[in-house]
Amino acid sequence: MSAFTYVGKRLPPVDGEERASGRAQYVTDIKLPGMLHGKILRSPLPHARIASIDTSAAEALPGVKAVATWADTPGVSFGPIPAFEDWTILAKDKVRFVGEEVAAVAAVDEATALRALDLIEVEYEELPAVFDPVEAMKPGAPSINGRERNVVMPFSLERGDVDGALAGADLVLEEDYYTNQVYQAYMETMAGVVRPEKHGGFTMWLPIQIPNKSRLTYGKALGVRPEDIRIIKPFMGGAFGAKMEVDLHLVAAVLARKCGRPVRIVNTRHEDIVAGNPRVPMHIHLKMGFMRDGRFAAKEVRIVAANGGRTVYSPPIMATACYRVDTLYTFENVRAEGYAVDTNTVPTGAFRGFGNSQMTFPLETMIDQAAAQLGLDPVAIRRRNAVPTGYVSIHGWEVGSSGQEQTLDNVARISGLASRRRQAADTGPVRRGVGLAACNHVSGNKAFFPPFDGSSSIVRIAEDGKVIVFHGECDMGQGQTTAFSQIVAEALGARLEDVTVAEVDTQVSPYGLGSFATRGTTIGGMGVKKGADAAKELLLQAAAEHFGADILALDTEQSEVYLKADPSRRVSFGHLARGFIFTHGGLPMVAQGHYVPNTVAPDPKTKYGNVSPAYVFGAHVAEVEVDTETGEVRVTGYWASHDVGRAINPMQLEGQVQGGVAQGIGWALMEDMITREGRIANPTLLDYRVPGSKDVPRVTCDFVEPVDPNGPFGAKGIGEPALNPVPAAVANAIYDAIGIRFTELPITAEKVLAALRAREAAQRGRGGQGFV
Amino acid sequence: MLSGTEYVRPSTMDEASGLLANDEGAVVLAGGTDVLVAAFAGRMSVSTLVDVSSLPELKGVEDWGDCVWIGALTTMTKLCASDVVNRVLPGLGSAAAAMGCWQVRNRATIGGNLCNASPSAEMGPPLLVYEAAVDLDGVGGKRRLPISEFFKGPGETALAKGELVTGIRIPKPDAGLRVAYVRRALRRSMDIPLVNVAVGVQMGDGVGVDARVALGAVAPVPFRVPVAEEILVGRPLTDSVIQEAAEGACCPARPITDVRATAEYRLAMVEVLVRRALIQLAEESV
Ligand SMILES: Cc1cc2nc3c(=O)[nH]c(=O)nc-3n(C[C@H](O)[C@H](O)[C@H](O)COP(=O)(O)OP(=O)(O)OC[C@H]3O[C@@H](n4cnc5c(N)ncnc54)[C@H](O)[C@@H]3O)c2cc1C
Repeated sequence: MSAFTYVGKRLPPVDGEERASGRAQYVTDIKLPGMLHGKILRSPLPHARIASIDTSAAEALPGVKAVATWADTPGVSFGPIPAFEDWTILAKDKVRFVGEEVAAVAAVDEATALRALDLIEVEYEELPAVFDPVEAMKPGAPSINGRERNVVMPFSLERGDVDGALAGADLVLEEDYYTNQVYQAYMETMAGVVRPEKHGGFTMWLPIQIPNKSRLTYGKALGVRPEDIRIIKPFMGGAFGAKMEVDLHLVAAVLARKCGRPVRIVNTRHEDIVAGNPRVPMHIHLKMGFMRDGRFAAKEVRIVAANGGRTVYSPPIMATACYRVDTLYTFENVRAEGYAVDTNTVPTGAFRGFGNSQMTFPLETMIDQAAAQLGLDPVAIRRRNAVPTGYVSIHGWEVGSSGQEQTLDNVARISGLASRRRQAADTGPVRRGVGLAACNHVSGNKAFFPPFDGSSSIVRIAEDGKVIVFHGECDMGQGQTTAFSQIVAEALGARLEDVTVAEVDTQVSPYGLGSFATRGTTIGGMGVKKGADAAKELLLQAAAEHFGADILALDTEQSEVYLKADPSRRVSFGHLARGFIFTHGGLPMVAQGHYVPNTVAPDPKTKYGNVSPAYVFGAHVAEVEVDTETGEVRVTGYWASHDVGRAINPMQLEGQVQGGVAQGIGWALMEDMITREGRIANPTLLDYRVPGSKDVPRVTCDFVEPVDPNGPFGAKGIGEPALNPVPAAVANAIYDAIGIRFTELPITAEKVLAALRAREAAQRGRGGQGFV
Repeated sequence: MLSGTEYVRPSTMDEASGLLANDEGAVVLAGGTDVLVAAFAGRMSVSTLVDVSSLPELKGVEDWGDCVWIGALTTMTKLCASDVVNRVLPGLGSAAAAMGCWQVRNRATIGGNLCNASPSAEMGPPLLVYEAAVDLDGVGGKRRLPISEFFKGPGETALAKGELVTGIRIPKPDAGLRVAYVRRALRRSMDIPLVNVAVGVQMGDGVGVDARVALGAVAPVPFRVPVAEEILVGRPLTDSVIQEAAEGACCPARPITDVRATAEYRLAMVEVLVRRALIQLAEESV
């Protein structure tokens, strides 16, 4: 393909000015007539029976319009995943984590609602609690949701001959790793404004990633049909996976129903941290066999993951961690065993990477270790096992395009990896090192929503020639609106400024699956492209009549149709649309398009399938300086190469990569939800440290564009892979700098210093024989 | 959140101290970066916010010949930009520059930093090293206290009811006194220190003639460390002397363990920071 008008251009976000100037309306900006303010009373205990709740004093407080407890809810159990329905909107007779919703108040303002919360008397009988998933599986552990050994879901899979391959391997490595619980730290806390409607339904203004799927869950929870719930998603201040189904939305609905008025609930930052939807912590045991030439002989993994007190998405996240990396390299012998386990901690869910980021840390550090022990170059060992275009993985995943080798070569080149390595011989307290890590990911996940996969759009040409695109995906701030505008403008031949992408409103938008699994640009993008293609047909037909020419003789550009043979003869979209609309009694000039990917849900038993229409690859290099006196690790340089199929907008891609790297550096080095006896000890952004601008170096980006057969103009996704390899790249760089491998995140200064001192002590004690 | 809280902006000292003396819940508002954060978070109940920004007695940075006078309302940004501070009190300027971020430094005042009396207050160690005095004024009249007597505990000061800090008076140090300020935080900006250290050394004939070491964040209040100072006086600033002083500085430190760091780590950082500050001074004096 030759020149594009908009695809591949460094265009600023189409909604950037609106957002930067404060004109963009977020859920928290919405004020409805008669709107009340809701607040949630949350459990102060990690595990307890509720003996009694007395709300009378709260109800008597002037300004309070409704107080709700479990008795005010439909009382059904429900959940995001039909197989694990362990939610109630408000706790029935038991609480399972600190922060669980026990009661709620709607009042004329937040201060009154807060005062009313203090007046609700709850009597608890404390129960023994368990916080670590490994402990929770042991016999005699307290039962949280009545499941055997507290196991929500086990997972197992085996392909090839793992034992034989391990027996024949030249090198076998085995290690325990731990990836900790971290918070998404989006700017906008969870929120909702819910208005009761006359037929018993609701209109909900929500920051949400999956409005249509949520309607199914919410309909069941509220005892109404999903169609009776209208969800509108205005501008959104980030999500990173956290804003799928959110109980707060339902609490607002219960209050709204009870008092017959709109109710707004906005989490404080504290509530958002203690009762949000953080990353699934995982204990990961990894064993790998390697051949002398660098080939990966076999991989065996065992994962125990914390579900928290009720099930959000930890089962599929654990499963993803078990085997998504099997398509990062050409593995032939793999075995995985995993458990998602109830714990009396905050429920855990999706966070950029969906388990794949957790697993990338052990895998990519172990590969680094193997390369060092086998005397192989870290790029070479990965290239040796790289996935080529057209590859079908052992699990049936069809890789339609792969730029993996090129991402490895490119990141090595732009970082000057070869010349940067092994500077550990520096003198002075500061040691420098570099580390490489690779990653893969999907661009969609058929397993996430079994009823269907795909996307669609409605494209309307208004009488002035302006183009409005309706879709059911969700921009949570990542730039989907801009990407869709570019795709539609390119496909339709419209001017970019003539294209408006509508916000999602389930009353008018197509049934979209929403934002997850890095699917927006690829699957969502195909949906809007198909709509634009169909709209182009409509315009060409109208123009064919206008010119008395054959459709094939016409094409579009800059919101005009022209004769290919004589481009000076042109007619505007507006002229054609007016002609059409005014001769059809005002009939909208509307086209629809849809895309059904070739994905196959994994077989429940064998897990064989093909979850995504396209697969992505990436490779990162981090350079660090380790201060051996303070243990402080400073990331001083960062390079990232990603296979994106086709760059729709390099500037937005860079933004995603920079954000992913910053978030990954936070996870690698400082972010940690410190939990003591089920209570989060650092529930503020003062004590929960996300990196500041000075903690993140300039990130140099590179994009490889193999043009995928299944993406719009060949595009694949970027959101999650941008983060996946960061902790491993940083950990490998730390190893390069000081010769110590860390297996637990985060790698805090204190841990680094302790490890250095332990090594020193061991070297002194054992005549220079380090134990690390 | 702050509904029910009164806001007043007195234009005279008398009015201000009267308000503070007669209203149990009255609180001084300077830059507000501590007081408003605490009030909004519900950690502090405030009946009246007494905005002191109109009091001329609290403003200005002045060179009074034998000393430098810094008004309580002087912001960190102004301290960083002040000629006399950079020339005569560079250790104070570096501490001011290390605090928070641009936005915070634009609001945060030196008076607020002292009166908030956080164990890790940025201004604590450098003012101890410069042997500053605090000017107070209130219903009981004016008085002056050495900085070492001003801090009483976390969040506690020698301020009496109805009293304000008007300014900080810093005797001009001997031109030969070099001062370094170093800190260790979990991030490189916008973070309060785990440990902060100010060190001043004056050399004469190759040996230390004056040495001042002050630590913050490792005890209820920032404090001077005579043990370390004595090690430095009368001896050259060699690696071994530096190491001895750095280790000596740890003895009186009594840090706490919290979610940001363990006491052991903070203690280890005292040694590292004192050593690094001294190395910096040793290199400067060559
Ligand atoms: C994001 C952020 C980052 C920060 N980073 C740092 C940091 O790195 N290092 C650090 O040390 N601090 C830091 N702080 C804390 C704070 O900014 C400083 O302590 C600042 O100097 C306080 O000054 P202020 O003028 O804002 O005080 P205010 O909040 O106005 O007042 C603080 C206290 O002092 C009292 N007070 C103020 N002035 C007077 C006076 N003249 N007389 C009597 N009482 C008075 C007030 O009543 C109040 O109790 C940070 C704060 C924030 C919000």
